[in-house]
Amino acid sequence: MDDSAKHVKIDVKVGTTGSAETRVYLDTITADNRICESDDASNGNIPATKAGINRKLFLRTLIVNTSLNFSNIPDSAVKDAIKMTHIIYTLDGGPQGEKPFNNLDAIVNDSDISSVEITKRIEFV
Amino acid sequence: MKNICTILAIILFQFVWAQDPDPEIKEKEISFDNLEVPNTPAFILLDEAPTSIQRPNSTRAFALDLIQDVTEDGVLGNLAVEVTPFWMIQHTHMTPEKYYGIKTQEDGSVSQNFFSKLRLASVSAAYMKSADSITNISIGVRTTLFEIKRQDDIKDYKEALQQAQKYLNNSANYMEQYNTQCKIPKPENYRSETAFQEAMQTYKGICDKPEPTRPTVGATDEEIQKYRAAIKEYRLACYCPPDPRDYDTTAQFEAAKEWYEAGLNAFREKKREEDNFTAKDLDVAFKEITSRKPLFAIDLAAAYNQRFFGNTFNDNTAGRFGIWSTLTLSSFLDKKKTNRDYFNVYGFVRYLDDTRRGIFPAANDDRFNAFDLGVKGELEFDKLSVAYEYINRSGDMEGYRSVGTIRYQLINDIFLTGSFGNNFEETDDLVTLFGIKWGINGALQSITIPQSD
Repeated sequence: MDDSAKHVKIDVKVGTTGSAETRVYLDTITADNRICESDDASNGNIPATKAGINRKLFLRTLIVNTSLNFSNIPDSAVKDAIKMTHIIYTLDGGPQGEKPFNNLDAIVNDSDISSVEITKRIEFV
Repeated sequence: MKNICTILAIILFQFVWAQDPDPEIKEKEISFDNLEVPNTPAFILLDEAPTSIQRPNSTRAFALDLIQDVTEDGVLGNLAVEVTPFWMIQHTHMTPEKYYGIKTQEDGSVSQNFFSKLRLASVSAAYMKSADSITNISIGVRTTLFEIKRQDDIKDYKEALQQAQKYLNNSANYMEQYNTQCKIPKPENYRSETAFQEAMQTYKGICDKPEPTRPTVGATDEEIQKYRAAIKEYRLACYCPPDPRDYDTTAQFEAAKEWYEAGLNAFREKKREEDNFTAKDLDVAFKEITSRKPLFAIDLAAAYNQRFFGNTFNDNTAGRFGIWSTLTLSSFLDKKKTNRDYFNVYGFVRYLDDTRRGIFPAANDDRFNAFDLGVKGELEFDKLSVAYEYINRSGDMEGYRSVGTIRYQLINDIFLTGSFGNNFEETDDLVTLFGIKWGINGALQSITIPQSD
């Protein structure tokens, strides 16, 4: 991060066979810290959205939480569907310009295998 | 008849095709699958409906009306269809308030839109063959011009809407809800009261203080290290879910994650059960409130009929044109009952312009004008309604209609009606009608609830 007032934007692209919803938070996953969320019809994708200005984001953590639902496919195929899922997080507006990330840290719901949470943390340094 | 069946098949096909375009949106909607299935104006014009005086609170997307005079041959040979175009179109900007006909003002008061039901106008068409080889084809329209709702009903609707919005906002994300409370110690997780109090003290000692102050850009490494240590302690005590950066080993993080997931799953299951109950509850509440009849309403209807002689297309004459208005005053029999019962009083006024094939000379048509004035009293219970109507006809055609009607809702979509009495004419004036009405709900027969005001 630099000391500028330039906006940092986050863009999320979700590729999955299930249905997806994405929410973006600052520092912690609570309703008060939610920055934005995907539209109903976007299947988890979020177009470039302002997350804050450079100097105010220094040492803060952007958390992108994506809920995936695979109830449209058999339970036996869910594991493969999770592996096939890819999410690309792109940050733009920082000193490094456009920077893509991708990572899968999935939490599967015990009682409903078709429900999966994927959380990505990006710390601004 | 074949053509009518084809049209019916096309309309039904549209309903099948239009089913459930986006199941994800379903849970944010109020579905109106309990709307009324009234007599069609196209039948009422011909004095062939079981009741001439009627005012539906609402009509379904599509309804089929089959009537048979039990003194004549045939089985449910008279047929009418009624379509409500409003329910055929997706209304993306229609809010529950706008649909119900209320508006919340800036000062919080609620005003009524007395003309809101105009948009629910319905169009109907009927086919009826009489014993003297005359085929009648009629078309009709009907709408509610004006209605006054009870203040109590408006208040109940607003409360149900606010509750629904609160529920939708709360149930939007279980993870968010769980995270706001998962670090707060719970008594049941501790072996003793002392252990719980100690955990609570630690929690309050760290989490009640503001988050550590973040260094600004350009801070020294020492300042950043100090902040990282402080925020790590804060996050460990106050934040959910666990953050891998806060744990010294992967094993520690995995243990924290396992603990978090177990808590989240238990919370999710509990909330799902609660929300499922709330969603069903809200659905029932909305249906009940929106089905309540307004205190006062004025309906307007018009219909036109063409007569065909001897099954010959070219041998036809303009039959009857009518325009009428129905005034309705409804009162609850028991205000406390969930499914309201009513005593309805109706006033009815109609103008008729009737053209009939002349007897001598046969090619000339005779034209008559008539004016109808009527009243009706109705007791309406959950599934059953009993009514009596009297209509006096004056002008070129004189007579009266005095008919008792009974109506029973067999299942949600099927209604049976029967009526008996005198029907205007001097001869052949016995009314002995039996009818079946089938209301079909459209896929778009719902309104989306916005998630917040």
